[in-house]
Parts: sequence; structure tokens; C-alpha cells
Amino acid sequence: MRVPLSWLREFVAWDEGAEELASALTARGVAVESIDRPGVGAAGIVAARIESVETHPVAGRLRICRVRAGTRTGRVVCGAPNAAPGMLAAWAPPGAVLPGGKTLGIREFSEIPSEGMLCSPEELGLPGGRGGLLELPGEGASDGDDLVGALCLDDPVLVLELTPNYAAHCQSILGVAREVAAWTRGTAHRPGAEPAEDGQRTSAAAAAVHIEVPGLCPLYVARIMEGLRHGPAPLRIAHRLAQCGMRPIGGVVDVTNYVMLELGHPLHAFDLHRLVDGLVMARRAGAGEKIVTFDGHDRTLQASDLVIADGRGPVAIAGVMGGERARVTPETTAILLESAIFDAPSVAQTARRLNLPSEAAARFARGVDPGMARPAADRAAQLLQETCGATVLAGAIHVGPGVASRFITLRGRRARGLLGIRLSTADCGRHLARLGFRIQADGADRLRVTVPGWRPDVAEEVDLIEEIGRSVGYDNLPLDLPSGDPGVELPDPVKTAQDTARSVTLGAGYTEVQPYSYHGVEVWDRLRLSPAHPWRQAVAVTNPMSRDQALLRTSLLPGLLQTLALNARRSRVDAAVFEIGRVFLRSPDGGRPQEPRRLGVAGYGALQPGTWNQPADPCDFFAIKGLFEEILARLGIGPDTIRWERAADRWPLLHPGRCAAATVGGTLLGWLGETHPEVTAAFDLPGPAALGELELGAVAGLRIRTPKRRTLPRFPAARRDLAVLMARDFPAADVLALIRETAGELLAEARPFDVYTGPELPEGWRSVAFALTYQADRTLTDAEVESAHTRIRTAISRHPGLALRS
Amino acid sequence: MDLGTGALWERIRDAALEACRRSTTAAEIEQVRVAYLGRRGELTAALREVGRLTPAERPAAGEAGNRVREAIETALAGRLMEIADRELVRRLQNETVDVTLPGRRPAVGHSHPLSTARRDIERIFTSMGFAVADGPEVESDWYNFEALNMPVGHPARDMHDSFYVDARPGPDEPAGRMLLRTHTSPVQIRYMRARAGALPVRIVAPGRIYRRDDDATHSPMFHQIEGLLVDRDVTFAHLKGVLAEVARRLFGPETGLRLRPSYFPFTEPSAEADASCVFCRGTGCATCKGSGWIEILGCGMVHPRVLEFGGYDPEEVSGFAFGMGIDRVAMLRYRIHDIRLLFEGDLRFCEQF
Repeated sequence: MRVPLSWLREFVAWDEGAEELASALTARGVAVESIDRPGVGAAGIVAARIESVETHPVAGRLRICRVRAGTRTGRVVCGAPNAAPGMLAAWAPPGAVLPGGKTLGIREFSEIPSEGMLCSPEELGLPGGRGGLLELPGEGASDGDDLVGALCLDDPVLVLELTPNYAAHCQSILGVAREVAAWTRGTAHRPGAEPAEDGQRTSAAAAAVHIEVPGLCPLYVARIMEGLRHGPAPLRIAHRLAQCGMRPIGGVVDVTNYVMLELGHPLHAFDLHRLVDGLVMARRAGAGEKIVTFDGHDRTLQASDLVIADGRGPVAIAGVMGGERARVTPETTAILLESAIFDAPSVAQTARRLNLPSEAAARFARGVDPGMARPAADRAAQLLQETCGATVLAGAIHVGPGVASRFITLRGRRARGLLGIRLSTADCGRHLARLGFRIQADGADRLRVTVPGWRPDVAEEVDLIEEIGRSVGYDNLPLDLPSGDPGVELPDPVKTAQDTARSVTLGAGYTEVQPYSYHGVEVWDRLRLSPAHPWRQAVAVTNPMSRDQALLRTSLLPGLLQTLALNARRSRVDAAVFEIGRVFLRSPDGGRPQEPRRLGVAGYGALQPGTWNQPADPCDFFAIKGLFEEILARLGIGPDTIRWERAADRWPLLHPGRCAAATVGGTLLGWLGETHPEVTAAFDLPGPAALGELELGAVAGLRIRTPKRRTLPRFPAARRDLAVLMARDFPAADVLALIRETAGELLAEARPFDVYTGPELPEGWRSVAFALTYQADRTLTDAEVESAHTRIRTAISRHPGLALRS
Repeated sequence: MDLGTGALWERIRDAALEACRRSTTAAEIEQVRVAYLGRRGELTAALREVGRLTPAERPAAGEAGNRVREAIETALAGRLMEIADRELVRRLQNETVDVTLPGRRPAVGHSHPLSTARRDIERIFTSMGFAVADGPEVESDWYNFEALNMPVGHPARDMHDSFYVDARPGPDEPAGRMLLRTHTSPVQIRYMRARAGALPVRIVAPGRIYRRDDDATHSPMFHQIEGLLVDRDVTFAHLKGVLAEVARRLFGPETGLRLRPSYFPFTEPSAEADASCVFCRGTGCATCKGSGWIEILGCGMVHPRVLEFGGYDPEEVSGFAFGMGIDRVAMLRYRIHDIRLLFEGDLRFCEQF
């Protein structure tokens, strides 16, 4: 909604400047988004009579006008074709400033000096054609008049951004004026609307109105006018329509729009002679019934739509848009002016379904004031009489049950309790009265409040309490801190897992990213997923804005790979990223999907790039595995309890020889690996990426243990190394298990420290060296250590797949 | 030999001291020691000769010889220390590094600005006694709209242009369409129902939300943190008090808070909260569009119908709720002008935080 201040001043008075007014309205909830000043700076432009027009002696298409503005005269060169002697024009003499800030002087046109210029509407920021001078109407203006004031050229316009509730009463100059009046504690006045009626004939005799569905159309007021002459709207009306963002088109429509902006009540005019049987009725549309709206489009209606129909069929979609058949045209001489009340939800639904967000629908959808139906019709009749020479038939046709007033009971105690202020119940009533509510006492602490017709948004007691709050001013309400026991919340184990995963991953050099929760279907093809792969069982978005929003992710890895690809495209040499987020797993029966939280990590190149004195630390399979081991260890899941297995078939995006699943007691905790060469290529990565996903819910499901203190060893440890030959696909973990099994309780730790393959080893074999640490709560003798170590050596040499390497 | 006169001792001493002086390494010192003091050393040999002297001559000669030995030993030890000192100096010189070469920085990752903002906000609220709650992102129409006082056809639904998904609500939920939640407010209902009437309800709930909107300041996916406090005698004053405290802790101790009436179907009275602009301190700048204020959240007193949907009696309890844009806080704090940078994952961006 745009509110020209000069228009607002016709309804209400205030002393403050535009900025203060804007902040006051904003503080009342009528948010002023900006103050538009299209004609800012305009000065010195006056009305001037053109006394003579001569052709320019050199430049034939220019003319020299002699003008008079009061006592001042001048000679102005102008190129407008409509300059004519006797015309009253807008003259910007030397020293005058045009809207936009241009100051005029004396300028020569082919040796003839011009004193300023005569202005077109466009040059003054007014609506109207180019190329011609603005022609001022003869009546009401005389030469010498200051046009900046008269035409409100420098008028500031408030641009409101209305919330749905205030949209009901602030989509009009009158509505905003009521808010201003409540602020200044003044009164908003509506301009008088008493058209001079033709005493002989009545509206009721000239047409008939019938309502079939009073539920959807509780009130229909119609006035009949004849003898209309079409012509451009007076400058003031046209200028104001333009200030409010509507294009003036002349005649009746400008007037109905003007009244709608002024009073908030949408009006519609039908060409009376084109209404079959001189009849309008408000009825439901037939299913599939058609109407051509005045924008020329064919619309198909439903039974839920309300239409205005004549003897032949629909002539308007009620409250939304008029029809082509009975619309007013420049040839129209008689009209039926409709000023009705339509059911708000019904209009909203029809406008939304037909995608017709008209100005009228925007008002009806929020609810309009039933009390304004007749005054709006009268105001339009008066203006049509003034501007189009209409003969206004006596009286108006009133049909329909009308709309009953609404009452709400307000308890003072409740208002004080919710707002946290000391305010007597009577004072609550005074605040409401200022906003147009009618108040009656109803017992000691109660008020019976009548809601004014223009506040359909106020429906219950809390709405009144908000009205009191904003009348007092939110800034004047007190401030306090809540007391009371905050209650105890047990820590969420998934959140604990999440926090640990996060801090360890950050510390390991991965940077957090936040990819979108959705992606397109083509990502799956780049991941080598078969049509039946479980990742493809995704929840689909049924109305995405683009193809890459079509599916909710079932894994964090596609998004992370896309992130890596973006960084690779931007010439990034090393990249390591992670995300902690949700995936969406479709329920087999189509019910509510599961949303497990996961840690996803991915990287290519080095985690720590090489420097002049340090080799690079690659982001590879073992980097991710080590990260997961560290996270799990800190959550009390030791490396000995985790089972790692290659699982090439489950994750086709991964290298079949470099991928693994981690399980504990059969529960899948995570998976990781390096990208399959085809995936590396499909994402244009500079080399294989290592990536993995950890199921934080499953991790948290295993009991997260608080670490227990262990006694520090007081006696020295003994270390022995052991090199074991084994086939290359023999799992090192199995050897470790064998070592632990046979060592007895003296073995404190065993870990692989070297893996070797070379020409002196048999083809397909490798050597893994283990470091064993023996320790006890006493000083161990050589013999004790040797005995344990020998047991291990014997067990290994007896194992068919293993041999000791000497 | 002339052991008695001392000329021999002096000659040996002078020669040995001279050799000691000329030595520059520990090995040379050792050579000098062997040459004079060793088993076959010159001094050792001379001392052996003392035994052949008469008993009367012996003491004086022996004493002179031993003085020479001490002198040589002292000189050698001193020289050895000098050499060790010099070698240490040389070694330290050799080990000197170019301190202007870059340090080896630990490869520590960067927390995403959204996570940092979220954690900061969470921490402020947890220190004020709020628990952190959570809810699903795929939500039913009932939780997302209906129970928040937005029945079908409600005009406010127009501001929540939703993404719908092909799923159904769970078996114990009201039937209806499923969508990506358009705000974190459904957590209000979920949490109240889980509390089953117990007091107080005092939570914040951060998370992702989705609306069909896409430009430099709107992303179809963004983040919000919901707050809810329900208890006996909770008033608008408590809402103002808590939010003023949060604004100060989040944007700095001088930050002012302003509430403007606004509209949300699930609160009444409703308000939009503005913090005084952190950049211009309220004098007006480009970020606050000259107003001196920056909109930070929407809030209000929980609507009675919402309390009822949550299983609480609005005549017995009251509450306040708010929803703050986490992306907006992060964008303000780090002066990020395009929201898409937050989600794109360009590491050159992410590593600035």
C-alpha cells in the first residue's frame, strides 16, 4: 500500500514530519518500508497562460511561446505540438527546480534564448503522455499559481509493508488515517459524499439485484447512474492513482479505483445497457461455467466460486475481476455501480486458484467494512457526477441480510497478566476506544467490546490485548526476566556423539560445510548406483523449483563430493570437508521418513600439505579410518571392539579394494573408502577422494562410556618386534587377534608398525612387522618375556597362512 | 739430565704448554696429553728419572716435576674447555634457522559460520536455563500449520510457500500432506506434547527450514532457532527481558532492542524485534537501510489455541515464543551479502571463519 501524505492530510491532521510519522506508524505495527519522494526538490513551477505562439525563425519544428504568470512574463522556446494560445500550462522559469533536482536557466535554441521551459506531465513526475505539454484545466487554476503545492509535486509517499492482520484496515487512506488519529489522539474525517440525486427516478426502478447465497454475499448495494461522458480523470485524481501505483485510464474506472484507495472498499461498475434483463444476481458458479474476464482471458469456474450474473450468465467473478461482456467502455453512458460485501475466504480461494491477485481481491480477501458499502457508493457517485457529468438516480438498492456486529469480552486481569503491566480495566477500554472499538462495562473487571466493521482481524480476547499493547506502545511495556526452576534436561547421547565427532574432525583438519539437503537425480548416476541401490529410495519433493531440489538426500556423501568438485573446478589442490547433518530415509510403507544424523567427511590431496621441511599428509583411506577410530575411541568404543570389513558391493561409488564398513556387534556404524576411478572422473576431481560416513545415532546407541582411570604402570616395559609373512589379502587384524589370544596377560600392547612388499618375498606375499609391549605390575624377567614371545612365534609358525620372517 | 736445576722441567713445561696452546681440537689435546703425561710421555719419563737421584736431591726434583705436571694438566683442561665452548658456539651457529620462513601450522579445520552462530546463540540460551530440543525436518501439515493456528486457507500460509514431499504422516499423527517444515515452530507443539503438561517448558530448537524462495537474500534452505517458554504467569515483559539480554550478549553490551507489533498466527500479541544496528550504532548505514535498526526475530505470546494444541490450558499457563534466523545473524556478524555463499562450500570462503 502506498500512501501519499497530501491525500492522508485530507483525512487527518498531524504536526510531525514524514519520518516521525513513518516511525510512529511502524511502532504501531503498520510497517513503513520506505518513504518515496519522486518529486523531491521541485520548486518554483507555476501555472502560466500561453499568450501567443510563433514558429521559430530558424528551427521550424520549434515554437516560441510568450507566457504570463500573474505579473511575470517570459519567452519560452518549446517543441510540443499542443502548445496553443490561451492554454494554461506549467512553466518552469529560470531558477525553478524540476522533480529530480534539475535547476533551469536561460538557454539558447538556435539563437533564440528560452526562459526556462514549459513542462510535459512526465517532466513533472505526473502520469500522462510524452511529447505534449501538461494542459491545466481552466477551472480552479489561474496563471501565477504555484503548481508544486497545487499538484503536490513534492508529496512524500509512505510505502507500507502490511502484515495480513493490518492489511484488513490499512489498505486505504482512511484506514491509515485512523491509525494516525489514534496516535495523535485526534480524529479521522472522511470527505463528505452526498451526490445531488435526480429526484424523479430511483435506482430501484432502473435495475434489480438478487442474492442467491447470502452466506457468500451478505450485502449488495447498487447505485445507478446515467448520462456519463468518458474523459480523462482530473489531474488530482490521476496524479494520486499514479502515486499509489495504479495507471489512470480515464472515466469510471479511475473513480472506482480512487474510492477503493481512499475508503478501502472495492467497487465495480457494470455497463447498465449491457446487463441482460437489467439484473444482477450473486450466485455460485456452475461447475465448469466459463467467463471471459476483462483482461481477455477465458476462465473456468467451480461451484465454490461466487459470480455476479445477469439474465444470460456471469458478468464478474465476485470480488476478483469483472467480465468482458458488461464492462464499462469509453462508450458507456449508464452504469450499475456495485458496492458489496463478499465472503473473505471464498474470494481469497478463488483469486488464488485463478492466480488473479487483483487490488479488489487483496481487500476482499482480508475482509472489508460492511459499514462502508453505502458511503463508498455515494462517494463514487459524487465523484462521477463531478468528473463524468453523471446523473445519479435517487437512492440505492440494498439487498442482503447484512453483517452483524461482533462483541468480545475482555477481562482486565487477563490483559494485565499477558502484557505484564499495571493498567486498570477502564484504561484498557480507553486504549481500545482510541482505536475505534466501542466499550461497555460488563461487571467489575470485564468489558464488552464491539469490534468496528473495519477490524475483521480482531476475533478474540488476545487480539484485543494486542491492540491494547500496541496502543500503549511496545516500547512502553515493562521488562522483566522469568524466574522459576528451569527444569532438568538429560544430555542427548546423539548430541554428545555429534559434539565429539565435530571437535575431533575439526582438529584433524577438515573444514565444515553446509551443503543443501536435496539434490537432483543425476547425481546418483555419477555415483555408479544401480537402479535398485538403497540410496535411490529417496523421499521426493513433489514441487521443486529446480531439478536439483527433486530429492531429499539419503547420504551426506553426494553433497560432499559436489563440494569437492566445486573446489576442484576452482583449482583447489587440497580439500578436506565435513558435514554433520541429517539424511532422509524413506519408510518402506511411505510413512514418515527417518532422519538419522550423520557425520560425513571427504577430501582429496593432502590434509596437511607438504612444506619445505615436512612431507605431505595425504587424505586417503587410512586418514578417514584413523579419524573414525579416534572419534569412536573418544566415545568409549575402542579399536579392538570395531570390526572392519571390505564391502565393495554396498557402495559402488567406492574403490572395490579400498572401502570398508565398520561394525560393532553386528551394528553398522559407518563406511568409508576412496572413490572409484569412474567416480573420480565423473566429478572431475584431480585424484581419488577419500570419504566416509558415520551413523551418529548408531554410535550413540552403543553405550557411550565415561573413560575410567587406569593405574599408571610403575615398572618398565619390555618391547619385542615380530615380522610376519602373510598373503596380501590376509587381514592384519586376524594376526593381531592371534597374537593377543596366545600372548597371555603380560602383553600390554601390539600394533603393526611396518608393512613391506618386495622382490625377495614370494609373489603375492607381504611382511607386516608388529611391535609388542610386555608389561606387568612388577619388573619382568627376560625369561618371562621370552616365554610369552616364544608362544606367539610358535602359534604364528603353526598357522597355515602365516610364517615368521627372520 | 739436569733434574736438580729445574731447567729440564721448565723446558718440558714450556714445550707442553706451547703444544697445548696450538691444539684446536679435543683430539689434539689428547695427543699432547699422551706426549707429555702418557705412559711414555716426556714428563712421565723425566719423573721416572727422579727415582735415580740421591735421596737428598729427590724431594726438590720430585716437587718441581709434579708442579710441571699440574701446570700441564690445568692447561690441558682449560684448553679443552675453551675448545668445547668454541665447538658449542659453532654448532649453535650451524643449527641456526631462518626465522622468517613460514611456521608449520597445524591443519585444523574451520567451523562453518552458521554452526558458530548457532552454538553462540544456543550457549546464550542454555546459560539462561533453556534446554536444546529438536524435531524432524519432514513435517506434517498438522504440526507445521494446523496446530500453529494456521488452518487450511489461512492467509499467513501464503507467506510459507512450501516444498511438499511424497510421504505420509506417521500412524499416530493426524492425516494430511507432508512437507519440508517452513519454520522451526512445529517443535513447539512436539515438545509441549512430549512434556505432557509438565512445567516449565523452556527450550530453544535450532534447525534447517525450507521455503520456495531463491535470491541473494533468500535461500530455499535456511536455518532458524525457535524459542519457547511456557509457565505460570509468563508475561510480555519476560519476553522483552529475555530478548533484550540475548541481543546484548549476541551483538554487544550497548545493543538496544525495539519491539514492533507484527503478525504471526501462533502468537498474540505478536512482535518483530529489532536490534540497534551493530555497524553504525544506530546512526544509520547501508546495512540497516538508514533506520539504525536491524530486524532480528519474530516473537510474541503463545496463542491460546497453540497452547491447547500442545496440551496446556491457556487459562492456567501462558508463554512466549520466538524464531530467529541463524543465517541472518551469521550474515550480519560476518557481513556476508549473498546467502548462497553459506551453502556453496567454496573453501576459500569457509576458511575465513
